[in-house]
Amino acid sequence: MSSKLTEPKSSDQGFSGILARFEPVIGLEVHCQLKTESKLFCSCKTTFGSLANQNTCPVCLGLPGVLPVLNHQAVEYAIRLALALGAKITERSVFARKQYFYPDLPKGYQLTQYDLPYCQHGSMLLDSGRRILIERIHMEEDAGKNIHGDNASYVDLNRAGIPLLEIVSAPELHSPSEAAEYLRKLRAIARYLEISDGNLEEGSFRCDANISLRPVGTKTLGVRTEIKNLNSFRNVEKAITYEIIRQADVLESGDQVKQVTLQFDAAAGRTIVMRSKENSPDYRYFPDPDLGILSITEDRIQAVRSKIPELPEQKVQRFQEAFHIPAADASQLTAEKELAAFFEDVVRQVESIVAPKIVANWMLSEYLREFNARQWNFAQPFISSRSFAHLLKLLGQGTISGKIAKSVFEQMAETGENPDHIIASKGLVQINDSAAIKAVVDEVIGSYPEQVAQYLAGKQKVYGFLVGQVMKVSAGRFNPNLLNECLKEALHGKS
Amino acid sequence: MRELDPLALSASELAQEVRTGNLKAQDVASSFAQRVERLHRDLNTHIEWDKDSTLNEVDKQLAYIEAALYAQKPLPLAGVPIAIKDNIMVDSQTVSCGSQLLRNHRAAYDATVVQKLKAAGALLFGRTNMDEFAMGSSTENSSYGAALNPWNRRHVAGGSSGGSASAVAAGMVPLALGSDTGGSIRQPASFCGVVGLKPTYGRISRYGLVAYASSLDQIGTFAHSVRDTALLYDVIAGHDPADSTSSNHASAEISSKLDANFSLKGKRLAVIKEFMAEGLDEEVKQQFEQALEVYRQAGATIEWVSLPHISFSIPVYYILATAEASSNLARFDGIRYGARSQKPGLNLRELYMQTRSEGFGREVKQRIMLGTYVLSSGYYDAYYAKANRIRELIRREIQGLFAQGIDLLLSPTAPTTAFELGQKTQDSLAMYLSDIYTIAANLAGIPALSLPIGLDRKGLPVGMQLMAPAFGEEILLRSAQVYEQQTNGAEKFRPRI
Amino acid sequence: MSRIDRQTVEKVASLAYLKLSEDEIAYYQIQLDRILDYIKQLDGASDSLPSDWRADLVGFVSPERADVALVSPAVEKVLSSAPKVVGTAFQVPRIIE
Ligand SMILES: [Mg+2]
Ligand SMILES: [Zn+2]
Repeated sequence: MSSKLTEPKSSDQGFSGILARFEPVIGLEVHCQLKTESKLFCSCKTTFGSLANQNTCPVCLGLPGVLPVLNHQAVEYAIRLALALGAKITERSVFARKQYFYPDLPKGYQLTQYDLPYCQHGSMLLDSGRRILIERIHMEEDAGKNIHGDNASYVDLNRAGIPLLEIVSAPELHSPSEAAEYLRKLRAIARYLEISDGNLEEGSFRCDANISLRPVGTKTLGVRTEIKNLNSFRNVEKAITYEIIRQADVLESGDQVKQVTLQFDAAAGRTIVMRSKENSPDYRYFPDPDLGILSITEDRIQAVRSKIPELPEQKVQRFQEAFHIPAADASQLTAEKELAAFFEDVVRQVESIVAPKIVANWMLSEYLREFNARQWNFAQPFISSRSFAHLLKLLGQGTISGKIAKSVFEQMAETGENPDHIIASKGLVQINDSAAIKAVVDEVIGSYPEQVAQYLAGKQKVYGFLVGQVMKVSAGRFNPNLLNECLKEALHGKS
Repeated sequence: MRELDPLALSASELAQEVRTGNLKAQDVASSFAQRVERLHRDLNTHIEWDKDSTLNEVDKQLAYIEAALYAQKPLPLAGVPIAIKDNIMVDSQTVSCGSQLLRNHRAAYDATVVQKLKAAGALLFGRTNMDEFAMGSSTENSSYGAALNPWNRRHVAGGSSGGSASAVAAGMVPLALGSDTGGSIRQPASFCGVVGLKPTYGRISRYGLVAYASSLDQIGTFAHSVRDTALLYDVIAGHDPADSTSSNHASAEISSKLDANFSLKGKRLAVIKEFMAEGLDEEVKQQFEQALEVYRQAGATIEWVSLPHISFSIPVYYILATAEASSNLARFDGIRYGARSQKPGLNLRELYMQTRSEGFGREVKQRIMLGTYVLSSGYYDAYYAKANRIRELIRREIQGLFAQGIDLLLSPTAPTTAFELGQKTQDSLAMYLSDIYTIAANLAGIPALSLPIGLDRKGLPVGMQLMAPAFGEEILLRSAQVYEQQTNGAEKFRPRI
Repeated sequence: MSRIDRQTVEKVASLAYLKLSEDEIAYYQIQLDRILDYIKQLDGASDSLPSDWRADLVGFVSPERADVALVSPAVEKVLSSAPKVVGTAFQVPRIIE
């Protein structure tokens, strides 16, 4: 019953043209897999077994006669996220059965929260300063996995029953990049809280997006479509962008958008209809009689509150105030808890020698470039914070110049050797001997009388050329400040 | 040493003689096995009975009993045969629930009650016939044919736990387990002349009981006497962490308190007015009134009370039970277990539908559809939510009576004695009405017991129902025993076979 | 009065994944209609509960278990008697999405 939608016409106005006429209204539903040891309602392992159905038991196989028992830790994780998003926790909430038939759903129903979720009314702050409402968060169990062969499909229930949080934003995001930012921030929070791996590719963080357009300046919501299972940040942006263009085409040709559920075909870069509103299923929700009330008392909330670490939003604030770094840099440095910790670690070690702002610049440019290119991780950093701090100290103390420091860092990234060793073996130590510098400066002034004359006639640009000539002789090792001093002194002596 | 006939002993006596060594568990097993062998086909009490494999299993249990006795474990059910309703899991044994869909299904684990029985030294003695998925009141909905009433084989044994009731009544086993969702233990106990107990909801773990209606289901007991009922109840009662609906309420042992001084003097027993109205068979009514007289003689006061909402029990039950059942039975799809349709060329949806249509019987499909309907979009409030509200009102009315000092509620167990086979099979509603007095206890979650009090002119047993406040099993059983003692009841009711 | 028509029986059967024969559709249409008619008496029940009363909020509190992983031996038994298994996975007709 899948049918392809017509290809959006390549809009001659381009994407920005569309945004000038339509405001996209986007809401995200995120399924976040919790990092518990055991499943939500049974004691099976949550690790992925290599063999299908190895992490199953009578309960998650849906055998006759079995009963669910709720995992305490999963509830605790759920409370953490609610607190981190400033949400309201419902003291008494309910697990319901969502009923439909599918081979990966062994009981014929999914245990989830329906009209009484444990959490409502949270929010997320975007870099723009806009706060996105999170309508609700609820707990539920994951389904298993259907694997499709040529002639048959195969059911693996290892994943069935793994705890999930479903986080539903209000339709308050207005661009593909805002949607991606919201998702990144949500993921960062889940990782800060140590409740989830937040891995989109492996499915521990899954995203559905609903999208509608309305003419700029109007308030009424348009007909929305929903795209299921976006499994990377890239696909979130790509799929939403595609869908915005497609809907704009439909609207501009005078048609109406149909309320459908879509799938994103990443390879083809387009959305495909899964089902239409008319055949949206009747799930026959009702409260699960095998479970009681999920009770989250004030005492329990307080006990969890004390375990909540500093979160990205607060860290960004603190970094800006304590380290005098711009908001954008602070935001980048706090995207991952370990990155932020590494940064603070380096700042502490170079205190009073290198300004935090310099550390931030080095982290965001040099360090992260190599980190990403070489696929390092923070669990076992290839370059330790000590080694990196030492390099920055050498720079701050003037032992090496910025240029040298960069090349030393490249060496470090290549070999893992410590900076002292690299500097010594290559003779890269900065020269702070004024007399030596003066000698070279005098030599250069003597060799380029024409350029000196131009400089003295007011052509400032030539100054750089002269610095370059002096540096060339020293192979970049002259202390740039001293060089400056000596060169200016010598030139002004001529005037 | 005098020769003991195991078949002539009560469960309590059997366990006692086995523990003291006067009787060998092997001899108990072979005596009862012979009796099952002789009778089970005639009465169709068992869905699974294989003498050899039963005795093989018993052999393993005998080794355990010996070791446990040596280690001075108490073993309250040492060497006592017990039949298990075919909807309770015994690891590696078939568990069909009376359904074709599960005709070859073997359990992959033990129900909590079964673990407890094994640990108590019981001998598991076959799997008893039942209405398919416990949906019925006569076992005529069993896809393996109806269990028959040992008092008169043209009459039903009752249901849904008819096989268990009939097997105990016929002396094939001294004890049996059943399950009770709307009367499925008490009604067949009444029809077959044995003691049937449905404990408080949450008192017995449901882990390993195939769910029919989760908020109503409860495992319970069949025995000849109140004493044996208490013996079995004590073994299986108690909190189970594997069942979230299992109660933490402390469960005191009852067996040791029986026979001790207990008087009904000053106790207030109440008869539910609404149950004494039309539809109640005249003979049953007379027998019940005589039973009331026995209690009056024993010092109790009898009063009449009204429960205004109790007349809504059946509609409330059929909404809630079928709604839950429609969901509980969704797992029977032939994908992981059960009889998958062999029809070739089916796509996935067709396979589901074909498997379920071939596997489920007529009444089961009807209840699944009714339950699906009441939960479907647009009908939830009118049916399911509404039924829950009336259920609450019924529960409050009953609790109100107990709160006012009523000790027990009394009624006939069923409006009639066992009806004839085929009499109600074409009329679902008439069949449903045979549970009219028993459903309230399930709706309110309170313990209730059926006690044989006499025979009608056709020679069929009449039962009286006693209901107590939640977790009031002790007063329930002790009061029932008073009746037995006053009437020599426990020994009176044995069909001649 | 008939509250259950043929379409309703078919719709409900389809939701419940039951395939009914013509005879069954006719049979269930009559049965369900009678039962729903009987159930209708609930409309006459007086209801003194507050309108926002809900059964699911007055029940017991769910116990919670410690987050400890255990291995179950059941899957071997289930796979050995499952209708159709390939490797350790359950086989079903190819799912067309
Ligand atoms: Mg969900
Ligand atoms: Zn499991």
